[in-house]
Formats: sequence, structure tokens, C-alpha cells
Amino acid sequence: METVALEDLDEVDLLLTELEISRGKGNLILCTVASPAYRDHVIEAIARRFLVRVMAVESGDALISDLRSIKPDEKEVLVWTLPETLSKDILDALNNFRELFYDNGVPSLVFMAPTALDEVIWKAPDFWRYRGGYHILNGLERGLDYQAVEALSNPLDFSNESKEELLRRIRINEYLRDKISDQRELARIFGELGTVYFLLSEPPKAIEHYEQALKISKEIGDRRGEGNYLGNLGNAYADLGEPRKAIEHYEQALKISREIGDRRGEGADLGNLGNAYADLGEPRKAIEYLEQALKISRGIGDRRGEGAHLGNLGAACGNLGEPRKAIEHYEQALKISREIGDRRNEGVWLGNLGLVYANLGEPRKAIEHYEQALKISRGIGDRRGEGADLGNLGNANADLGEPRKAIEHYQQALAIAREIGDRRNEGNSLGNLGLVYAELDQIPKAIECAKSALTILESIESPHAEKVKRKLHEWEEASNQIQ
Amino acid sequence: MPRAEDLRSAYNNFYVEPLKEDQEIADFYVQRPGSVSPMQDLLDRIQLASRREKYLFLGFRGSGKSTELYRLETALDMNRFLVVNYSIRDDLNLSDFDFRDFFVSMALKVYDIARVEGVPLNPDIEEDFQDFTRRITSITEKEVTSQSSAGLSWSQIIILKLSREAKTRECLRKELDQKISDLIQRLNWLIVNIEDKSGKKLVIIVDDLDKLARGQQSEDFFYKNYQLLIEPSCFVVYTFPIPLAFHPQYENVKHAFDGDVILLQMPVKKRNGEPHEEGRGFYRDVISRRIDLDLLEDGVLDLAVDSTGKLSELVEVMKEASLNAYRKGQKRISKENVASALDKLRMTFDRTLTEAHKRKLLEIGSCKEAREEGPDSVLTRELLFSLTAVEYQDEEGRWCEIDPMLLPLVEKWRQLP
Repeated sequence: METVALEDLDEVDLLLTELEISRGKGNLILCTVASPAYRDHVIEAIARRFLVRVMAVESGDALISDLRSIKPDEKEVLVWTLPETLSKDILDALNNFRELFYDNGVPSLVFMAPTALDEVIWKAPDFWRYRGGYHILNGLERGLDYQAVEALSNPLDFSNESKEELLRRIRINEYLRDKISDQRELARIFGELGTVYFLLSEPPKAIEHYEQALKISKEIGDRRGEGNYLGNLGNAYADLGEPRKAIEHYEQALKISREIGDRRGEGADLGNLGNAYADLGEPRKAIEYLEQALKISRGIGDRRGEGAHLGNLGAACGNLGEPRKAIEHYEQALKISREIGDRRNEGVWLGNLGLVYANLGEPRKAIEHYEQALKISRGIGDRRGEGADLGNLGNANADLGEPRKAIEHYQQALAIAREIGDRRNEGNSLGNLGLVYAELDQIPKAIECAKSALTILESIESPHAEKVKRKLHEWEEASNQIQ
Repeated sequence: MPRAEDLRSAYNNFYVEPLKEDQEIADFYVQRPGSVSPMQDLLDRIQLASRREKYLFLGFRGSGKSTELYRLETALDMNRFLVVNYSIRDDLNLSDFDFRDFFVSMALKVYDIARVEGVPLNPDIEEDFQDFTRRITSITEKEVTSQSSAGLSWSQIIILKLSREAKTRECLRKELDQKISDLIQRLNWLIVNIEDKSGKKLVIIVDDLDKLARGQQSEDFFYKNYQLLIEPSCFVVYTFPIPLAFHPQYENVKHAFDGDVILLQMPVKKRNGEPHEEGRGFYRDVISRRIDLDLLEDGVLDLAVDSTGKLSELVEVMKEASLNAYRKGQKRISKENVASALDKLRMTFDRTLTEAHKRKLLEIGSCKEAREEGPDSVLTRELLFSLTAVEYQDEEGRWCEIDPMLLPLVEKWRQLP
């Protein structure tokens, strides 16, 4: 059922036209696509129109030898699939033997990952320049699993090495809560409890405690505390998939931070506003806020904030289709997380780096990163992170043409999202399950998942709701035709 | 190739390969405006020189060097000159390239021209050359005989083995390690013998030396061995990768040669940003030679010319635009077709360039010069190799510029933190 993504129909049509015009003549047509499984779907679509011979390129010498020895039928189209990463010998062979693609007298269509195209442009420039056509396929878009890291408004002055440690911290704070009479100290205890629950991916409990901390701060006129807890409440609402409510809280917090000259708080609030706008699908606005936040963090030497803003800038760049820039930001953020021993963010940036590699057409490299990230999120009890890592592993497996493995991962991610009330990942997991079921031709199941996903994604104003709606419509139409 | 009258033929007439046949030249070639064309410059020099001179021929990828070299070959008086025009890409393995292989292939090419032109070689010189070649390549007579049935000459078989067999290359390099002067001496014996017997001067044109893919590979070849490159005792034209001319060592090397002739891209804008009408006219002519201009809607040609400003890129963009139009069932290419082809390329480069590249491009765009920061810096050369930075020349001099196609991205790049 699933062959070519709607977004690619135009480009695939253009590709087919080019093959038609080139039939019986030498031509070199390049095509980038991130997912090997999707590439195979496109090849199937081409094979329905043309006599196709598919050649997997494994080494430079083998490529040259194939190009020289192949004697194609004049009606044939030669399809060459390049590996995810190109070795020097393959790049050299492409660059130095580019004419052979024309000498065969039939069109050659060369598929490569976006990251491989970068290598080709820089390291096989003559091959690149010799192309007859060039096509970019987007592939099936899956739900977003990018994680933004919220900059906590009150400094996280405790380590976060394991879930056990966080649970112990809850027990200690609960014990102290009953012993302390100082209101300012009590607010701090409620605030810390909120943060621990937040870190344990329990936003409703976090909200409950932050509200208490906020109430006390207001009563005693602690403006800084008030600003901090408002910001943290915003984070908890963001985790619950309520970005508008989050923004309201961040704006109130920002007003207070500026009023009292709290630069660190101001940086955190600006960064959080950036994340909220990113969640609403407004990456340019997100970048504006995050850059302001980054400037402040650097100015006051707030390394944790700096790391968070850098990483979140990476996510925004990724959403704007600037993966190289995203990688640069994530790498910097990862370095800071490791320097300051911030395990949670280390896991997040690893996962996000994996996402960029997946988008560049390197699913295996992506899996390596997701697995490292998953190990960390499980280690520190970050259930939300664990769910996102599992979802991303599902996507990578789907890209590699392993739908059953993908389903297993999505279902685990879905269970976690439901358990912790993470609406965004619940919607994404359901949407992704729908796509995989459709690939397996299980349309009723796909429709069921997409419907549930759509309800959730619309309720949290996710930018992905529209895509799910289109898919749902497509499947319902297909299903009606069958009936 | 007749001028295209429909979009399907237009697609097929836009190709980036060099023009290498008389008919193609007659149909598609456009003379560059300017006082002296680089080809004419080389031609005059060769025809006038009393010594056997060596020249460097510089140009960007896709600027038309091979076409100009083909024109040079056909323009040289056949009664006075014997021309060996060949591409190293055809004869050598560029992935595993070494100056020793290069000189062996040059000697074999010279040897082969004698056979092709029916020039009888002195038997001693011929026998000595064959013995020497067998020795350094370890290719036996039996191996040669077994392949000669395919219609290849002795020298062609050796060249084939040299390009395809790593073992042959290894052996040759080991043998020649201390004996490169022996080889050059034999090459020169052949040259003297051929010139004497034919009564013509030999001109060797080595094309595609600028295609050495890695910067290091080209640097090693030209900068470590340039003294050897001037040793052959005949005229030689070497293509030279223009980005290497931005290397600090270039000034030292170029003086060893008798001239460096440059084929630069024609600009579409002057250094001060005003339109460069001669350059624009040149590119318009390139298109009008290939297709009937009635296939273009108003403004299409100007959009494509002004947004590319490079020969091969203009052809690529027009090829894609004609495909876009054909697919949509249009009769003519529209601005949208061109814009869509440009956007796709622009997006790809924006993604591929690093921030350091973008900063360097901004610098080039503002100061109109391309310089490396220091001996270890490769940014400028990478940009020139990838053609994202271009060097132009007009009557007012030479300058560098960002690839015109990328100019719409400049504002965005300026916002880089």
C-alpha cells in the first residue's frame, strides 16, 4: 500500500519523466533519499514503468567493473544504490569514471543518502557536475520525536545520576517538609519536589508541588521564587503537551525576571519560550528566543543554560532543514553536558544527534546514538526520554525496512507515553504505528491508529496533526475503494 | 546537433560534456568576448615560439577548457605540428595516481603517435624504449600477445594494464624510483626522433590534470614535480586546477613555465555590481545556440543567466527547467521552472556548506578576493573546487565572487551568530 509519500509525488513524477525522455540514451540521474526502505519503495514504483536492473554498489573497483562489463538491454534503466557512507574508493570511482554511466547507452539512476550527497559534492565534484538530473525525495515523514530540554528556572543544584537517587531525594524532602517551619525554606522544598517529579516524567505531580511553592512565594513576597516556579510550571505544562499554557507561564516568569534583574532566570525563560514556539512549529521564532537566551547564559557563565540553549537551537535548526548546523550545536551541547556531568541532557543530545543522522540517511549511525541515549534515560529514570528513544529506534528500524521491529519499539514508546501522560509522544507513536501498519498493508489498523493520533495531536496543536490528517484521508479513500 | 525546437530536444541539447567534434563546435560553440581568447593566445605562442615551451592552462570545472583544447588541436597547422591531445582520465587511474605513471603514459602516447602517423622510428630507439618499458612494468611479451587480438596496439595494452592493474603500477613505481631521469631521457629520444622524421613539431596537450580529485593529490603532483614537467623537449600544455593557483607556492611554480593562460568564467555582473552586458550576452548566446528562444517565456533567459553566472551551472539549470516544463505539458519554459531548479540546488548547497564555509563566502563577497588564512587553511580552495566561489575576469581585472546562485542566501548567512 505505502509506496511514495504524497509530498514526493511531484518529484517522483518528474523523475519518471526524465527516465522516459532518456530511454535508450546514456544519462546520469542522481536521487537522494534518507530511508533505504523508502528508496526500495520508489524503485518498485519505477519498476512498474521501466525494465529495471538494480545494482548495489559495495566498492569502487566493483562499481568500475560493473560499469564496464554490463551490457544492458536498450529498454533498461540501471539503478545504482550507494551505501550510507561512501568510502574513498567509491568516491574516486564515481569521480574518475563518470563517463561510464553515459557509455552504457541507457539511463543510470543513482540513489544515495543526503549525507552521501554531501560527500559527493566535495569529494567527487566532477561526478556531481556531470549529472543530467537531480532529485530530492523527502520520504515518509514520521512523527517528531525531537526532545527539547527545558532550562529550569531554579538552578538544579543536585546531581541526577540515577532514578534511585531521585527517589531518595523525594523521601528526604518529604521528611523535611514536615519538620520545617520557615516559609521560604518550605517553598524551596516544594519546588525541589516539583523538579524531581518533573525529572521523573511525572508532570502532574510536578505541577502540584510547583503550585504550592508558587503560592508560598507570593505570600512571603519572594519575587525571584515566584518567577522561578512560574517558569518551572511552564515546563511541566509543556511536557503535558500544553504549549499555550506553558507560554503564559513563561511570559509571566520573564516579566518578573526582568523586573528584579535576574539574568539567569531571564535566560531560562527566553530559552523556554523558544522551546514552546518550536513545539508549535515556529522554528524561526524559536531561534530568535534561543539566541537571546544563549547570549545571556554565556554572559553570566551559566554553563547548564548554555548547553540547553545550544542543544535546543540544534533542534530548531534541524526543523529548518539545516542538519549540519544542528549537528554542530548538538555536539557543543553534548560536550557541555559531559563537562558538567548532566546525564539527562547528555542522553537527550545523543538522541537528537541520532535523529539528524537518520534524516541524513544514516539509520545505522542513528541507531548507535539512540541506543546510547536509551541506556542513559533508563539509567537515570528519565521515562520521557526513554519513550522518545524507543520511538526513534522504531523510526530507524522502519527506515531500514524492519516494520515488525519498528512496531515493537513504537508500542513500548506508546506504553511509556501513556503511563507518564506524555501526550506529544503518545500522538507521535500512534501516528508512526499507523504508517508502519499501512506499509504492511494493514489499513484498518493504520486508520485506527491515525484517528487516535489525530485527536491527541490536534488537542496539543502539534504541527504534525495536518500530516496525520492527510494520511488518514488517503487510507480511508483506499479502504473505500477496496470495499 | 540541430537547435532544439521542442522541450524534449531542449532537454537533450543541454549537456555539460565538452564539445569535442567539429559538428558540435559548429552548432554550439560561442566565442567569448574579450580581446584575445585563451585558445588564440596558446595558438599564437606555439606558432611563434622558437623553443619548445611549456604552458599551464587554468580554468574552473566546467568553464570549457576541454572544448578550447580541442579547438587548439584543430587550429594548429597540421603541416607544421603533430598533436598528441589526451586526457589522463582515459589512461590513468586517478584514484591511484602518481607522477611516475604520468610520465610513462606520456611516453607511450608519444610512441603511439608515431605508429598512428606512420612515422618510422629509429630501430634502436624503438627497441630500447620497448625493452625499458617491459622492464619497468614487468609485462611479458606473452601478456601483450594475448591481448593484442582485441585490436589494441602494444602501447595501448601497456597503458590499459597501467590503469587497471595495481600490481603493474606498483612494479613501475618501484623500478622508476631512482630512474625517472632514464624515462625522461627516453621520452625525449622519441620526441627528437619523431620531430626529425616527420618534419613537424610535437605538441602534447594533457587534459584533465585539474581533475585530480583531492587537493593533496594535485599539490603533490604540481608542486613537488614541477621541475620534471618542464623536461620534455617539445611543446606541452598542462591543464592546471585553478584553486591551486591560490596556494602560496603557485607564484614560485608558475615561473618555471613559459606561460599561464587562464580561461575564467564570464561574469554576469561587474565588480561594482552593475550588469555585465558582454558576459550576459555570452551566456544568452550559449542558450540560443542550443534551443530556439521561442521555447522560453519572457524573462526566463535573463533569470537563468543572472542567477548562475557559470557555464556548466547555467546548462544544468536549463536542463532541469526544460524537464520541469516538459513534464507539466507546457510548450515553453517558464520562470517558475527555472526558479524551481535553482531552489533545489540552492537548498542542497545551503545544507552542505559549513558555517565556516559560509563565513568565508561572505568575506569573499564583500572584499571580492579569495585568500587562504594561512598555509594550513583549505577553506578557500574547497569553495573554489566546489564552485561555490568563482573567479571572474573582465577588462577591468580579476576578482572573486560568491556563486550568483547562492546570493539569495547571503542575508540569511549574515545572521549567523
